[in-house]
This record gives sequence, structure tokens and C-alpha cells, in this order.
Amino acid sequence: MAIAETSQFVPLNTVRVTEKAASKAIEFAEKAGRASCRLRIAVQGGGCSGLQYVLELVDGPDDSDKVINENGIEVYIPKRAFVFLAGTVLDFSDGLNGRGFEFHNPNAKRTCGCGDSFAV
Amino acid sequence: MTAIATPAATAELFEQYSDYDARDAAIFEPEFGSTLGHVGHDALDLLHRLTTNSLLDLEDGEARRTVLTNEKGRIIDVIWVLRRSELELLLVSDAPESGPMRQGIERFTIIEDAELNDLTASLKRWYVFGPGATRLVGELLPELDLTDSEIGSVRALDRLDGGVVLALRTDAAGPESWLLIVGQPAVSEITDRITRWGLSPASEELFDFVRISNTQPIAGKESSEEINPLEAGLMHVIDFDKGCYVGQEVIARLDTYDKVQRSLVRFTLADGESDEATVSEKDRIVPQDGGRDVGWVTSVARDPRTSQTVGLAILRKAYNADDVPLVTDQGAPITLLRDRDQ
Repeated sequence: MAIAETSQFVPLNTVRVTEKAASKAIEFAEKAGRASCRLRIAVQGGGCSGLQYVLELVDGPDDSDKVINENGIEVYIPKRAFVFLAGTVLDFSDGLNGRGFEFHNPNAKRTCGCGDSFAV
Repeated sequence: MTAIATPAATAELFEQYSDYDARDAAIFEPEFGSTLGHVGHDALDLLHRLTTNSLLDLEDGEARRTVLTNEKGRIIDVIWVLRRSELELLLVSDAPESGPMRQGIERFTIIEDAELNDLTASLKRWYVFGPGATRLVGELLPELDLTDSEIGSVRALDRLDGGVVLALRTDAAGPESWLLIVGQPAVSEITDRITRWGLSPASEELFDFVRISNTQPIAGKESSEEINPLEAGLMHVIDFDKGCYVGQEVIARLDTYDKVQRSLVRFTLADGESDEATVSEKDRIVPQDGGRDVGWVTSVARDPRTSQTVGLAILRKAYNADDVPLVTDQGAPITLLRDRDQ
């Protein structure tokens, strides 16, 4: 993938989802019997570094969600989480050494070993 | 802190100890401690993700101790999490200020349905401590069934004169210590009962003496952002299988590679020094032969029977040995106590 795709400049008013990540998200949505892929990306307290990513398939946006259409999926981001995610690229890494969904977050000053947690 | 004791102060402490010895228990009204209410659907899950112990299986009416750590695995606070209901927790700490606990949790409350309220001023506390503490709590609060209690047990009286009374067994000063948390409407009734039973409240120094004798760390003294839970003797409130929490990688690494550098130790002033030398909390400890400091004093009290100073300290493990003479930076020689020394 798409090292170029993740390292390219992403405006801080949005979050990008790579084609591969979008394709995987659609695959998971289909397996879950969903007609369309609606993905919430959020941040919650926890993890080794203090903040951890949350990915979940949902039915629709909450009132406070920022809505982004990207590569065929709808992405919802709670406004309180967006400050930690602005400019992030969501990618998918597969293969023997792949780690599944990966976040390339320009706000993360430090990440933990498993990559699920970060500090700003 | 402890300075040279006046004869009057020594006599008063001895009298308190005599009462304690006769009853096998004493009651103490701490001026330290903080209590936060934590309310919301995500409150317990959030605490589980931020602290060292596993909390998700906590049931209504149960309590469990856990450590709020920072990203470096250092202690922000040591907390009893008491689950009142699915939506309501009480966070109980012995730390003098609630600020660090509050900030340590609020900082990571992003999308969670969880709100903190400081209840410290509206809840009064008493510690009942000593080998007979459970019996004494039973005498003060005969409404409570204390059978089969163990550390973490909670017994509740939801309405005593309109106020809540919670009895939480913390073993803070050693086996069988109970913390009574009392809502303001019930305070006068509890105070009356204490008076009727002829109990004179013990001093913090007696509480500390018993606590130090049992090598029990307490939040605010043996916990700080200078040390981690492994150094503070809190291994038993760390769940190494629970997965990630803030500071988990550091704590797991210290344990796995046996890299814990310091430990909690008990000490006394070396023989014959009690009348001359003083030791205070935060005094640094150095080798008598000189060199850099190797630890610091965290708690100090006098033995009411002998007036000898005893204390707890955080000490580098390499110096936790009988053959290395140690002194405080004020020049007081200290002797480390092992379990066999009383």
C-alpha cells in the first residue's frame, strides 16, 4: 500500500480512509449483514499511552458526529474525538506481519507497542 | 512528621495505645482522604481502562482497590472503587487532595458517558483499626451483618437519620481495618454512638504506628508520581492479565525483566538514637559512608510503648541489606526492620 497514500498531506479538517481500509470495512459490514458500511471512528481513554482508537459499525450518525464520505463508506467521528483524529489516515495492513486496521495519526506523539494506543 | 516528643505528648500517645491495646481496636477520624462520585454508563469501563486492577466483574455493593497510573507507570492515586449501582461508583482515596485523581480520569474522558463529582465535603470518614476492628464496627453499627467479611467487603446502611453509612474493609492499617464513610445527616448519630461506647478518637500518630508496624502503604505518603506500584508494595492490586491500561507497558516490562529498583521498607532509628535524632517524612536516605541518596522516608511515628521512632521508606533494593549502614540527610542513623523484628 500505499505508503505514499498514508504519508501524503491530509488536511486537518478531515480524516482519510484508504481504499484498502474502506474495502475491508465494507467486507466486515457485509459479513455482519449490513446493507451499507457506516463506520464510527472514535477515541476513548485507556491503552498503555492513555488514548485508544475505537472502530465500530453503526446504524447511523449521532447528533454530534462529523460525517465524512470516503471511498464508498460513511465515516462518523464524534466531535469530541475529532480533535485527536484530525488529519489521520485509516489504513489496513494484511499479510503475515500485518496488524489489521492501522491509524496514521499526525497528532500522536507516542504510540504503544501494539499500536492501538497513543498519546498526544 | 515526628520531632522530639514532649513528655505530655508521649503520655497522651501511651494512653491512646493502652485504650487500643485493651479493646484490640481504635477509632480515628482522618483529616486526609477524598471521595469522588463517578456516574454514567461508561464509568466502570473507563476506570478499567485507566487503572491497574481488573474492574469489569465488580458487582453492586462490592469494592476493589486499583491504582491510577500515568503513562510512565507512576502512581497518581490509589483508589477504592466502590460500585453502588450500575451507574454509580464511589472512588475513595486516602490522598489529601482529590485533584490528581480527578485530573487523571478527566483527562482521558473523551466520548464516555462518565461524570465526576467531588463528594469529599459531604461525606465524613472514620477509620476503625486493629485486630478487633470488625467487632468494634459491629458494636457501633449493629444493623450491619459483618460475618464473612474480607478486604474489599462493603456493608451499607442506606438510611441512618436520612444519611448513608458505608463500612468498607480496607485493611489500611493492617488486618481488619474498616473505613466508615458517613453522609452528613447520619454524622451526629454516629458521633453519639462513638461517645456512648466511651471511645476516645485516636491520633493520626497511633493510626500511623499501627499501619507502619504492618508495613501498609497509604495513598499520599507511600504513593506519588516518583514511584510505581511495584515499588510501593502494591503488586496485589495489579492484574497482569487484564490487557492495556495507562502505564501498563512500563509496569509489565519492570515485572517481566525484574527491573524494579526500589521497595517499601520499615525502619527504626538505630539503637540509642531516639532521644537525640529526629526523622521526618521526605528526609532523604544516604549510605553512612557517603554517596548519592538511595531512598527517602515516607511515614514516621513513635512507638507509644518505647517512644522509639519507626517509619516506612522507599529504598533502592541494593541497599536493603543489613550490612549497609544508612543515615538520613539530617544525620539520623536508621536500622531496617524485618518481619521478625517487632
